[in-house]
Amino acid sequence: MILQQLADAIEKGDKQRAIKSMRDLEADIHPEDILKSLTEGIRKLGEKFENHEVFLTDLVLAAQAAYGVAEVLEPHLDKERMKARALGTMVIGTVEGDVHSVGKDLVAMVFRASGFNVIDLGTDVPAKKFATAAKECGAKIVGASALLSTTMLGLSKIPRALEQEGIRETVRVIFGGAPVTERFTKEAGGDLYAEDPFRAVKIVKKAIGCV
Amino acid sequence: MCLGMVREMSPRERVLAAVEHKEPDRIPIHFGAPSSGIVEIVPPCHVTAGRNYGYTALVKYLGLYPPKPEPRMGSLNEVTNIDERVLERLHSDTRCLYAGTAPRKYMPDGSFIDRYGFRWYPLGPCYDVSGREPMRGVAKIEDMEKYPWPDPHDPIIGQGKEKEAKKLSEETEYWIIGVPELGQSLLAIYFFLFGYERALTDPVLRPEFFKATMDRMMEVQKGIVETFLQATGDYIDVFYLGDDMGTQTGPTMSLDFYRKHWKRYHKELVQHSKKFTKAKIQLHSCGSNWIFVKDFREIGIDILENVQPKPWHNEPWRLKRDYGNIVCFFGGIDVQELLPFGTIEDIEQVVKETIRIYGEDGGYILALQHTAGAEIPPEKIVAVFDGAYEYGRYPLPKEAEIDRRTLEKYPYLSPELAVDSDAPVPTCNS
Repeated sequence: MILQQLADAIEKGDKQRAIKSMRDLEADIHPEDILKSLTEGIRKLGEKFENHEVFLTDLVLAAQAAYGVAEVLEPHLDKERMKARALGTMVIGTVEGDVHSVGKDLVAMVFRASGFNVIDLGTDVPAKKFATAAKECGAKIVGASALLSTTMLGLSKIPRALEQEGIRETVRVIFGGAPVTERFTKEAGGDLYAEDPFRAVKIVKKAIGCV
Repeated sequence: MCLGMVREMSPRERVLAAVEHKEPDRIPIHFGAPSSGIVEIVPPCHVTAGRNYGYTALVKYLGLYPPKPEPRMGSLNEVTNIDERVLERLHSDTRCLYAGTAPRKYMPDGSFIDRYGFRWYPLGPCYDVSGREPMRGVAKIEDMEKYPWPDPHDPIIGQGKEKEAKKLSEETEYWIIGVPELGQSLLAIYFFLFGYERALTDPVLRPEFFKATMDRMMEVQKGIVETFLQATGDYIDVFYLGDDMGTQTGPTMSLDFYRKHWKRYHKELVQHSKKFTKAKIQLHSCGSNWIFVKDFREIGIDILENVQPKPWHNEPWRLKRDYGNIVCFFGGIDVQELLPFGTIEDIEQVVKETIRIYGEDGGYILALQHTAGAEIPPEKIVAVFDGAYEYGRYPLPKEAEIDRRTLEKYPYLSPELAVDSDAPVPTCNS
């Protein structure tokens, strides 16, 4: 019941209620079950976002609520076990020359909540840094976004940088951002395109055989 | 309603007719800042992938180089003083009159600081403040109050503007757009000050702080409006306000959220503006705005700019069908896909069809959906405006004359290619 309340509070972006619900939980409830509940809240919100029943404000408020819960929960999590059970590692960032972070942050949040291990490189990230980070952590996915029709042209450098690191064949590259299209993604050498975080999760899961 | 095409209208008559939902002699055209013109590339700004067009390339293409006067740029590097010969050549029916600002002072790293204290850093072809907001992390009211807010009665805002406005109004026949700095935005100023997430969440997570900040911001913005309009209000035809309420995939917030937290401030700013001018009110709002349009109209917006065809539920046919009788649309020509990647033939067909959809019974001013970036070749910009001039004569065709291949490339032009073409219009009950 309280787990359901937690999921509901996350979905509604009510940070205070989410944290209170979590504190009300019995001590013997496993932290991973709490995380599942958090994921369920985000998943439901995702469905509503896809149906345009909720919008950006709702997502950001839900993210704040989820981070609030995760912060309280963090000391109790078995991080190694979580990492081992993750669906895969994703390296994410905003393309070089572009410092816009909100869209990328939301994508990172939704991927984390969906069970991925996400390494966020931040904004204005050179292509080589994506490739180096992906190689170092054995990432299955590289996600990059651009807000401007000029900076998006720099996305094409990322698949080339992965090639130079010798890992292009093992990494799926997903692009997103306001001016980016499926056609552009293909022209720029990317593999996948999604117009919002929730579609991105579905597409990536399918691409790496998680569904 | 058709006025009867006996004579060529003056630009001002043409735009006014469209704004009042009457069919003019041809579709009115706007080219230029604040948000439907073109950028200029000036170091240290640059273009990442070698496409380096912009204003100078356009002027050269038109055989009008060097531009007169020397180009002056706004915060996003859009040219704010486009050469009169370029505006004439591109058939623009409008002219912009900007609030006065102090000359831009550059820092050694290429950044500059504006009236609000925002430090704009070079980013690709333009400037940006994201990630370096001056009050990022500030959450106490007393700290917010210590911020050096701009002086809303700085004489430079209106200095020389009355004379300039009077001259434009009395000695030209153009439609005069009065433009204060940054469109007197509210949501945008909030996120330039504190960051985007804070602008979206403070109304809920920090309600007292949000209210105190908005009260302070309104004092400043209303003061700037007053200073500018006291000098120009009698001469301008439309007053430009701006905020970006939409994103590509949907509105930034639900209608309920807007009504609860933001609408009152927009309304207050519009009402305050109307105390100093009889001009129409134009609201700039990027992205998906479909859910907000009735509320915008209710608070006194006459013109919605710059309608962008690709965001969610922002297609020309949907906006025209659902709100064509209550606001005039301004913009509509896609600079995200059509201009950077389309062919000249695509552009001609899309312009023609956009005019046909939006232009029925007036209510449309053709313009770029936003500033043309440096990656757009000049011949494509010219194709838009020559196309509008050629195809914009009334009476407009009743049936679409666009081929199927082009329609499939730009599906926003047809309800048949939309998944939810019959979505109900949001109601306005506040």
